[in-house]
Amino acid sequence: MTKAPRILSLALVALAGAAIIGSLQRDVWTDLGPGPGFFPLVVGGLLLVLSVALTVELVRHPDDDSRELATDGRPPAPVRGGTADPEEKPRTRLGNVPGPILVVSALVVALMLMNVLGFRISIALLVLFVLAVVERMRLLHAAGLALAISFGSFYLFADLLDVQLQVSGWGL
Amino acid sequence: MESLGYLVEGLGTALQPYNLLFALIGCLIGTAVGVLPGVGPTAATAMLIPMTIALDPIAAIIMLSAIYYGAQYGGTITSVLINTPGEVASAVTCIDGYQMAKRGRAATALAVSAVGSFIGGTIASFGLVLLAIPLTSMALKFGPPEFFALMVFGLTLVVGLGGKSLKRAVIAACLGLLIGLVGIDPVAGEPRFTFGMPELLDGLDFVPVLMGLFGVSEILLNLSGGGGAKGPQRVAKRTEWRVIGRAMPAIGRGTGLGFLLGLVPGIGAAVPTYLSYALERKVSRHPERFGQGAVEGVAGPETANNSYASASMIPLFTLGIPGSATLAVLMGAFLMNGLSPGPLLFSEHPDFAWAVIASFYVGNIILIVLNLPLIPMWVQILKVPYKVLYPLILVMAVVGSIALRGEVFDAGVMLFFGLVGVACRRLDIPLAPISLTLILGPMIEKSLRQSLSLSQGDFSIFFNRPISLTLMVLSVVVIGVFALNLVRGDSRVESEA
Repeated sequence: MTKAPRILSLALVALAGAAIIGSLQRDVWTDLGPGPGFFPLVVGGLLLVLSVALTVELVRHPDDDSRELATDGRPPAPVRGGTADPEEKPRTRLGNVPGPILVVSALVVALMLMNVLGFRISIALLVLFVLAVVERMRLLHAAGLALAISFGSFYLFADLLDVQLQVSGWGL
Repeated sequence: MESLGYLVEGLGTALQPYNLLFALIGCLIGTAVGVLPGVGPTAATAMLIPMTIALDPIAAIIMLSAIYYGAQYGGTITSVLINTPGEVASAVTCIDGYQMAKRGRAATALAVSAVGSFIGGTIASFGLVLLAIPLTSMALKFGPPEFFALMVFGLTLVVGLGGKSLKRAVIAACLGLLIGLVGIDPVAGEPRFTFGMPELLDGLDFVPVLMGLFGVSEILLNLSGGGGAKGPQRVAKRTEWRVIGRAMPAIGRGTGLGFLLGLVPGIGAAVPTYLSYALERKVSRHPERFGQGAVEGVAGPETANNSYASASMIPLFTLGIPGSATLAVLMGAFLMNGLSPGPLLFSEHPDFAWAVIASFYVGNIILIVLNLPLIPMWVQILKVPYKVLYPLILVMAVVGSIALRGEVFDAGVMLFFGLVGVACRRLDIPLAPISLTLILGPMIEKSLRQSLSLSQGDFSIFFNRPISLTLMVLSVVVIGVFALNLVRGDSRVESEA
């Protein structure tokens, strides 16, 4: 049992509140009928009621947090501090830092660098990090794959299909 | 009967080797465009128009049309194999198609999609011949109130997409509607929920949002699942033809639904697929199988998708009204070749019009001949170790997002919605209603406000027009059924709903 679902449901309540406040800052009703604030107000109101109900449900029945997912039938992913067998946690070269956090962080950094380093280099670094650090692949193999994926995808999309991808100041 | 005579003549033209070659090229490009993220059929058609100037007009339009309906099939491949929709219209296929792949049934999912696409596309093309003009005049009776009522009906069906909990399904629908509100208000032209970011003025595009919700969240969950990253089952079973036979009723329903919605301009290719999915879940004796790899969850939407693609040509051919961005580009190609789509097309250029219509049959045959043998090749993708496959999927998702406007910002949007997808799954909130209402939301709001502007704020406009009244009554019936289930089964909608 974790607190994460309850925190997430509170985030939903906050989102609904923000939508309502945002809609009230606009015309809700005009002489011609509904204004720009009408629809967000209705949707925000409905979301607020339901997300409060969801929060109450999760507080009352915290055990349901680990219920099977309806979306695709996948059992919920084990989380740190949960019931998962510690032996089964993905191990990365950075010790106990979870793989998803490493991948998301690497993607954020790669996207931030993309306008400076260009698509090819930032994507090569991203893939290299994921393969070598998260998946513990041998460095040489990881580097070869990273270069193939980044340069290959740039060639396919930018050179052949004319998709606009970022190029660094030095042409890469 | 006169139409059938013209059709036979058109078939003669379409089957000429020169035209056949360009239909084949169009199908190949279309399938590739559907598979590759970011290069949608609209962009591909637009990019290829200049190249068609040197071609005979019939061959040019045959090729561009083939790209359009070929892309509808191609998008399925990535939805099934890697849970990343190549096209918006294929997003719903992720739900059950990917589950089938995870159970080693990717080949069956792709085959049922190919067969459904063929049947849907072919029957809708027959409809184009026989029913085009009378049905189109009826479709033109769809004003803003009818449009709104249709969308409301679609929304009520959304709860059917929601798995076990009605509350969570409606929360998901609200989330999708809110995401769709970001950008400039479609009526007053006022920015909403843009947080001062100019990149958000045009709203959030479906592609990065859907790639994040489905593809990226899947990767992150697989990574956190323990024991290293795991993808779909690598050992794929052979195509189960008996299962495909059982999906025929779903294919029939998808054909009808896609055809009818294709007559209404502006619906978009995604809506028929979601409605078809909801319909299949509703009529199924075992709705609990949906989301777990139900073949009907792939057959219905994929058929509706291609049936819609062919039927949406009807308003273009008969009235000169393009129903989508891709068809608008196609209309540009008509005009560049000195042809005006509309009522006069059939009287002034019958040879052209009927050859292009006949080419739809030929194109559908090419697509199935092309795609069924290629299924084993596509399934080989699953043999790539997941630890190599998922970085590749991430890169494809980044490219697909950036390709929209050349902005890295859109890749950030994709990542953000990947995290939203993880949060939703942690809360047991289904993703399908989010993606549907994201698409329907702007249409619903626009038609609601246009309708109420017409009636000066009087809501009775939705109840004093026959089509909108019928749709509203149907919506009330659907809501009533769900309310009944709620009363019977506490706050949980049981599977039989």
